[in-house]
Amino acid sequence: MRIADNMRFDTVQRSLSALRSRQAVLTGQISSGSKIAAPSDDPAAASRLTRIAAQAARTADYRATISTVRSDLELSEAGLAQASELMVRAKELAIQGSNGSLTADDRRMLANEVETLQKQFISTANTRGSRGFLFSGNLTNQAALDENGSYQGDASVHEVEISPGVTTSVSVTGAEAFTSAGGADAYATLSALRAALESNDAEGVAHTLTDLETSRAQIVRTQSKTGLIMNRLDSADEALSTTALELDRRRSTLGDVDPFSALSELNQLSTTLQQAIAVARLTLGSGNNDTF
Amino acid sequence: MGLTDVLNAARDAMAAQTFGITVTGQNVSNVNTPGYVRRQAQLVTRDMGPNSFGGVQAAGIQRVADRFVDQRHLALIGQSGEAATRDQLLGQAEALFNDFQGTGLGASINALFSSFSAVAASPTDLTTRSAVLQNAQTFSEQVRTAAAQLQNFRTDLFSQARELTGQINSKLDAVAQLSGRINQAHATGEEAADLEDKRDAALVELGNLVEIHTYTDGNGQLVVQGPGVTLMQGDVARHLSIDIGDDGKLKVLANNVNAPSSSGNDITAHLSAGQLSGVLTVRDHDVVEMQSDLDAFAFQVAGQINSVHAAGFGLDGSGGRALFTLSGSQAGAAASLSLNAALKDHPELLGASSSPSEVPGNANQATALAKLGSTPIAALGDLDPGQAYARIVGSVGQRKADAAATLDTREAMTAQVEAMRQSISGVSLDEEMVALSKFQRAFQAASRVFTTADQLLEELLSTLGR
Repeated sequence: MRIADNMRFDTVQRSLSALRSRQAVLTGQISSGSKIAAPSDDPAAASRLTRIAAQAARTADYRATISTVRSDLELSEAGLAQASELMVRAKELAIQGSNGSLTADDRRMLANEVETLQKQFISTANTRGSRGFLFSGNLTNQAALDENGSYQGDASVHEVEISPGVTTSVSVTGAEAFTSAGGADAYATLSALRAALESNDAEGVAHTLTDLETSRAQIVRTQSKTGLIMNRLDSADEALSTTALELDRRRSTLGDVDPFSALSELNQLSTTLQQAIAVARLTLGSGNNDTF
Repeated sequence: MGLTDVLNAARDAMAAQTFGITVTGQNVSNVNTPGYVRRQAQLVTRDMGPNSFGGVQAAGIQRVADRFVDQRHLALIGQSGEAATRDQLLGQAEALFNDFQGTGLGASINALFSSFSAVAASPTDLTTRSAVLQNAQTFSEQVRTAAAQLQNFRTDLFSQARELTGQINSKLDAVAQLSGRINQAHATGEEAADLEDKRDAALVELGNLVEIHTYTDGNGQLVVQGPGVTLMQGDVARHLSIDIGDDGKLKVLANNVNAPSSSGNDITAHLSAGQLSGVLTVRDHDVVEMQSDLDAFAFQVAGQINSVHAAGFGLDGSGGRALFTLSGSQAGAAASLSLNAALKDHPELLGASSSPSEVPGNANQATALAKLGSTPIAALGDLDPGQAYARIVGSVGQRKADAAATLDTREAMTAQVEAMRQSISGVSLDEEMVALSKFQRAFQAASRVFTTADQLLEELLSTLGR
């Protein structure tokens, strides 16, 4: 093949510019840590990375939801534990008050303590969480019990999606814990106990014991339900954290530069570039200077 | 034959070798001149009639070029021009969908679904509700911006196409003018190599802008064939102009030489190479498809969100509100998407509850909104919003990657043909060095012949004069 002078220069220029451009790409990848600077670098990977980002965002959403509702559940559980302790104390008072040797004054003192228990009960039932009153069902802007102890909430529960396609209720209502809808009306039983004590009616006091126990058991049952929900949330969260890790691993495999291979390629490229420059010097330097 | 004939032959030889040296000098001088085609001195024996002995004559110069290689070069230059333009323009369009540097549309749609989910977890929190409105606004703004940028891009490309047709016309004029002069020179037997170099260079530039083929007609005159139409013949060039059709797409028209005022032939469908074709393809094919993808995405996603949101009830206990103001038809939906003005600054109106009597604790509708983030939409090819956006990103990237790959291939092919062309027409200094020696030696020999003949004549004259 006949070689014109310009061909030598063109060849040198083309090969140098190809090397330089690969060098620029590698340098960019290493300094950003990412293989993909624009979708066209690898359209399939770019599309998958975008899907993964969306999926990771959803996963993070589920986990954020779980952590938000979990703190309300913890508050609910603590409230129910407190309420059940109040009922235990009320039972003790009832046993004491049903003792036939007590005087009317003794019973009145016990009645006073029951009154205090009732106030504590109302304030416990009206515990507030991030959503508002915890035991008012969905009417979270209303106290669960008014000052007379009657339930003001509704029977509906808070439902959220905790993992793809899994919607679950994440609250318990005062209706199931404290009212006759769940078995017995705790506050009414306390009122009955207090009334019996005040009227010095040992028989009546003994009569409330069954209802007090029913109420306590009902509260404890609801409390254990919150525990079950929390267990469920925890296992969902664990699964989600595995998903999140897996998504991150896939993102990294698709999008991250392997620093070792990139650096070694860059090193190799620098050597090649030096050789190309040396060859270019030789090609461009020699030749017609001698002949002309 | 006489001694004078020898003298004349030597004179011709010296003149011819000098001509050869001149041509070599010209080649050496133009070694780096773009478009220069190396020349060869054409030496022929001088025909001096019967019984006479011919000397040498410089018949002229010959441009060393291969017409078929040049044709191939012109074709490839056009294809490279188209690919380079498309690659560069798609790179600009790609930047609109590049989530890999900074936050883009993908991040904002994810943020919107995240805030739905946050409201589902704490429906009574006004800050969380405000975040939904904020994210919905950001999402709609980003969609609008992307749509507006695509539209602006098309407007820019119209100007670019207009500029290109201007360049094409002035190149065509230049080629026509040069052709006229070359044809004239040929008719009078003058040298036209320089003019032909210039015309070839102009043709290469023209070929980069618009697809052309050239051939020589029966009279030895160049004809430039454009896409579906003759662009230049003799010394007359047709001009191209552009217009926008009823469908908003560009039309390329070739005017009628005989009736300059008529609108001209529509040659748009014939364009297949050259920068102009690249601009047209990107403007009326690639960007149009991106626009319709974006419209479909915005219309479907916002439409789904709207219908779920409208079924929900705000803290005021009433529902039926849309989250987005959305146009009724899919075409152009992206450009007009915005947050429902009635909801702006009113987080309490967000339809998070599925029942008017269960506010504020009921978050079922917020949960349903969050679920949309992973619910396939039939009209988007059964992809959920995140996947649908990922498909747009992938297809935009694929377009650019395909264009880059095409460019690589065509550039490599063009480089190959350019090398072939250089190999034929480029100046080699080595060769010129040899040629120079060759002519120098021949000149020396001719001058030796001259001296010898001269000496003989002198000898003869002195003998006669005695």
